[in-house]
Amino acid sequence: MKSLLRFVFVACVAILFSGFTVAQQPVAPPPMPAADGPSLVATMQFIEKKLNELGTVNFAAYLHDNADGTDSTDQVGIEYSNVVADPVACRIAYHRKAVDKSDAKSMEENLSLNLRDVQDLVVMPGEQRLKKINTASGHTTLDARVDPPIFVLVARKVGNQENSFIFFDEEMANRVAKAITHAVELCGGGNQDKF
Amino acid sequence: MKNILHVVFVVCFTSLFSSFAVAQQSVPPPPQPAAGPSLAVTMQFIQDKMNEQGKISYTLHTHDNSNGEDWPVYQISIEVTNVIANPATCRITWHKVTTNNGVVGINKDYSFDLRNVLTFEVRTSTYEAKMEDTANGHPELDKRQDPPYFAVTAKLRDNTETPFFVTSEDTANRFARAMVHAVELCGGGNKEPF
Repeated sequence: MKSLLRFVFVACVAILFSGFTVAQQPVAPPPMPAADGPSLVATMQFIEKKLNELGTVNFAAYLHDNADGTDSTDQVGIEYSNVVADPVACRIAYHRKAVDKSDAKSMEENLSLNLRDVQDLVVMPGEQRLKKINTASGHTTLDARVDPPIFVLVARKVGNQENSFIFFDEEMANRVAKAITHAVELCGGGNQDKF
Repeated sequence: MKNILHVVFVVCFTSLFSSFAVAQQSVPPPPQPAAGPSLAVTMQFIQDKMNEQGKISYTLHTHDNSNGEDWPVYQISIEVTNVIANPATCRITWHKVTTNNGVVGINKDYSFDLRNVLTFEVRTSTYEAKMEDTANGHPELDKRQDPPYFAVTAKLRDNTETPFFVTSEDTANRFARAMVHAVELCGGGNKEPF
């Protein structure tokens, strides 16, 4: 059972902190500055600075399966590096390394977030994020506790894809979410649905 | 004081020539001095409160959640002395000595520029230890301090943190308010667009 839990957890971590690269699109002309708020250049500089400052986010995840009462513990480190927020391409590119220290496994990826694809952004506690992912994968009996508390900024894109960034500081997560939302608006992204 | 004299001079000058004034564009009023205590008074308060803390002693209990083990109990002390809060330079300097079961650990001078501060956060000693251990790659450790203390932690522009330790929550909050005021008077604080 422990190995199953470990498998589920690793899968969750992979999904939780993954991004989905999108096909390159033609580069549009630089967007016009919005009437209100900071320019796109200033906004992207702020986003780039704050995401680079994330560095390595370490946390412990304690899993409990309510079906059989089993517990397991994992130590995770997520490292963000080389974040580049390009105001011309309206894209945030970054490198992400996820390490599960419990079994010394790691996964590295170069990821990008095209702001024109972003539908909306949401900040949620780590436990809530894990619960949603576990539920979506059919593991509704798993509860997770994350220590220290983390807050996950999720950028939801078209096609049910997501990019996520992890913060210890909820206020900072919300500030970066606000900045990305502003950048998405300046780049012409966002939810264009009628309802 | 110089600012006040300047304001008094401007007021007198304006009154003197007001009867001869012709239609002019509206001029914004001269900047008001920041509300609240002066920087000198604020820095003196900070200096006094830090020097009053004396030695903070506590018993440290550590539990490792990865294997369920409890670590040996340690007797820890933190003492900050020779605190100088200089309003002219907007800097605070101090000396810190820590001991673990009577053995000296840290024993050095520190310095801190209020203009580099973004925010302050009041934390419990448990949370402060958790964040320090997490930064060092050990989020699985739970630490409990008996008696607990509080940390007023400054977040700086270079993405580092500097904690100041106090024994009571009330003092921590008052100390933090004074620090925030001093940072504002020194021209620091968060000037980011979001």
